[in-house]
Amino acid sequence: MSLLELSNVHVRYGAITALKGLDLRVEQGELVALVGSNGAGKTTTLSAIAGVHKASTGSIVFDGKPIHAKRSADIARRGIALVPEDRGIFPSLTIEENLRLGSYLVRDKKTVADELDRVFDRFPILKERAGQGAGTLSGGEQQQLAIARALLSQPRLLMLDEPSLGLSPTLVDRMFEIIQQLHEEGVTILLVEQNVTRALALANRAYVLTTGSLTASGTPQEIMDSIDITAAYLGGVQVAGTEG
Amino acid sequence: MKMPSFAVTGRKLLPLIGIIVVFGVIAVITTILGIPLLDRIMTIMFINLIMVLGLQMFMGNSGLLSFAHVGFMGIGAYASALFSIPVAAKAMSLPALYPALAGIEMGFFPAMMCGALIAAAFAAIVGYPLMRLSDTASAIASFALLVIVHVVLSQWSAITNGPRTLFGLLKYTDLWTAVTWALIILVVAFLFKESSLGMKLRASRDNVHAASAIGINVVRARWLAFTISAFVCGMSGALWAHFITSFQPGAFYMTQTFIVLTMLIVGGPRTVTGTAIGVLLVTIATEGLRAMENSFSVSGVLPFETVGMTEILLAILLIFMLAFRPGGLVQTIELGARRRVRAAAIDTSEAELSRKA
Amino acid sequence: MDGVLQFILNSLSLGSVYALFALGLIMVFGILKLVNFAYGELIMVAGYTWFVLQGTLLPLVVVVLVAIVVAAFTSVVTERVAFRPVRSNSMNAMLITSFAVSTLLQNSALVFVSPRARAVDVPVFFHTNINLGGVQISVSNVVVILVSTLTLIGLLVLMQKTRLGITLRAAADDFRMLQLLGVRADQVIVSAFAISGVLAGIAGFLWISRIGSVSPTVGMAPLLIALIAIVVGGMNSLSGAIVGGFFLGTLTIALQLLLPQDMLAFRDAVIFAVVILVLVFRPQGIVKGRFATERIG
Ligand SMILES: Nc1ncnc2c1ncn2[C@@H]1O[C@H](COP(=O)(O)OP(=O)(O)O)[C@@H](O)[C@H]1O
Ligand SMILES: [Mg+2]
Repeated sequence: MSLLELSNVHVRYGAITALKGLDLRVEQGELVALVGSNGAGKTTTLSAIAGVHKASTGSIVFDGKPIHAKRSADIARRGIALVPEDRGIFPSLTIEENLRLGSYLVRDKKTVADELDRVFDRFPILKERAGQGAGTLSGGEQQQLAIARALLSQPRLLMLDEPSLGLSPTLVDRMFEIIQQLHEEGVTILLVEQNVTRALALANRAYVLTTGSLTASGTPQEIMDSIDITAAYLGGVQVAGTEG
Repeated sequence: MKMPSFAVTGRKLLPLIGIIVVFGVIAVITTILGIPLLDRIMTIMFINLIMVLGLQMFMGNSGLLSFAHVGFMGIGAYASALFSIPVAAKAMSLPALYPALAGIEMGFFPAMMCGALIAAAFAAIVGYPLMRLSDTASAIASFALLVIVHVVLSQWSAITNGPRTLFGLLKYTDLWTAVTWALIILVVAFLFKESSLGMKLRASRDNVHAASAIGINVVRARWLAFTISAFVCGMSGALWAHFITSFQPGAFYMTQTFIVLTMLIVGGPRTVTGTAIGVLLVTIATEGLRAMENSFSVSGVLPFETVGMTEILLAILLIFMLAFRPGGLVQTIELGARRRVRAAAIDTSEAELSRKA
Repeated sequence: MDGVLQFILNSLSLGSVYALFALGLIMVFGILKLVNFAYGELIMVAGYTWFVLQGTLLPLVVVVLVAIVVAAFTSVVTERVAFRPVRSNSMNAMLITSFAVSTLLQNSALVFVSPRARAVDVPVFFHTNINLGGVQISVSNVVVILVSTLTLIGLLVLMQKTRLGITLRAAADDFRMLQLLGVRADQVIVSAFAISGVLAGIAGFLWISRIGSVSPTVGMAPLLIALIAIVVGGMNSLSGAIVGGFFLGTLTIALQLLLPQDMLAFRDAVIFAVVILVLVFRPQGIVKGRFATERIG
């Protein structure tokens, strides 16, 4: 049984149908990439899973239980963490307070402290600036804070929405390193990216989304092989991805 | 989104004609019965209909909440009174009146028009900057405007007689004056909604950014609607003033705002037919409750004062409506026009939701 | 010199009550972006609780505590019964709901207690003066300043140091994200309404002991004051509410001294005109924060 399984998911924004019958699954321990151009519906997919926008039809099953009718807080409580595109930092809170909210669901004080230490080891900059306002962080630091905060909830599925967006090339490298590392440590990840080459290099499997529907799926190799179908499209995406 | 055609087609007129017939019949029956109390209730209902239609023209089409409109009703009432009170009575009614104004005496129609114009001019002047605001800020600003009007009406003793009762008005308004004007305003509100201005406003209500993107000057459209609707509310104030003939500034404050909003929300602010039905239903409910209130307080069966019971029940009704049918009884498609498309109402609330998130 | 000190004390005293009014209103606004027009009625509820209990032999402190609890409870009940069902509807629906709740509570007081104002027994010593280093200070001013300061400190600690406070501040920043971290919206909102009610209760006690009586519409003035204070001070932070409250308190005392009597009547109109000007030209208020209002055009 898959950890996460979407079948025939539709999401509508008023008159616009942003997802038209999406099927997608993520196995335990996998790193799955979801790629596609701007406006393809990647963010919408993650929002639907996280319960921010409800699917109008179809089902989303997590760990054997349907979650598509649940509220986002309850979905988070089942172990799904989303790092949104805008990073969702609370600017008027300190970095430490942001992190404390990440471990909101973890009851055991000792676990919280241990996890916080691990996160600080992984992202030393956050430790240095723990007492400062999160609004003062740079884009790259905010992204680190957002991921750190998500990790503190000890998620069973980590969803990252374009973590490399708006970062400098060195930071992009660093970001993909971190993702690779998390994956190797056994974190299940659903990664949304426009930077297709980088994402495919890390992923176990990938899905290509075009205006609300899947146009390809499979291993990174299979995606690359189907390049004749999607060549023009992927080319465009790569240019867009490397610009960022 | 399908663009509705600009021409008012025959089918679109059906709901309007229907509602005119209903209200016409009510007026005729009231006249035939000749019961003074019923006559009074119905006259006030028709005046309220004008007031609520005025509010609907702005609020229903633009989607902006306004608390200010009862203030415009008040301005219309006081301004028209200033012009219509006979010169002989003015010294009694307004002892501190400026000499320059003391000699003015007009008939009802010109006085009403002056009152409405003053309300509209006031709305136009203070309203322009407010039209740039949206949502919460504009609601607060309109509330502030209501308070300002109230303070001025109750403090500018020279022309309003201050917080004391203003009297000396002639009773120009009767049932059929109110009915005639209400039916005219029904048509006006309906045409306004279908006019290109109304269309622009409704587009901005559904999506401000999209409307601006296609070249609609949203601020201007809102401002024009605000001014026109203030004119209509001012008229209703003048009609009311010359029916009641003596009143205080408190008549144009929170309680009246609450009743007017209830009428609009219960019926459905997006449709003219809904608005009209809301006025009718809330009037029936209010008067029914008042009658019960009176009989209870006379018989003394209840161990407490019953004045205020009506407002309590109306408030509960309003809260229920907002929770379970926020678009009102007649939501988006005028009652009787083909079929109801509920999806449209749902879409908008969703859009509003995601905007809030 | 004495006059200056008196002015400062009066301004501090009135300003601190106004700040509490504003804080109670902003608690809910920060999270739901809802201006709760029924906020003033929480103050009325606290006042009537005081009125009802004063016949009993309970000491004033107990009466006041009960009044605060009743106000907080009423606040939570209105959230549960009226605001929660409309929360997913438009902002307008929420605003009108709060207007309806306000009418409901006012008329309930009118029907079930009394349409007329009722006197509350303010302790006599409130009206006495004490001599502090040669300056006469009224006890009521001292009580007001003391209670408000303690409340402000308590609120500050709550918001800065506790998990609930952090959650509430985060909710004001980005409620959607907070829910994505597993925090249930209902819990946060109920807490905000409860705190709002507690503040209304405390401020209500101070306000009603100042005016000496309670009536169904006693909450109107506090609501308007809070509204002005948050608009002028800034709707995006608690400090905005505090600044706005003290600013308005000082302004009120100053205008009382400076304006001629016949102009004083128009004071409220002038102040509300300022509110509109602030909304239009400086929507962030005195204390700058993120923009609360979306502007077009
Ligand atoms: N809140 C919204 N309201 C209306 N349309 C939206 C909203 N969010 C996204 N869309 C539309 O849905 C489509 C998919 O958007 P999105 O999921 O953000 O794409 P991606 O993340 O792949 O760039 C786009 O056409 C976008 O315009
Ligand atoms: Mg996206």
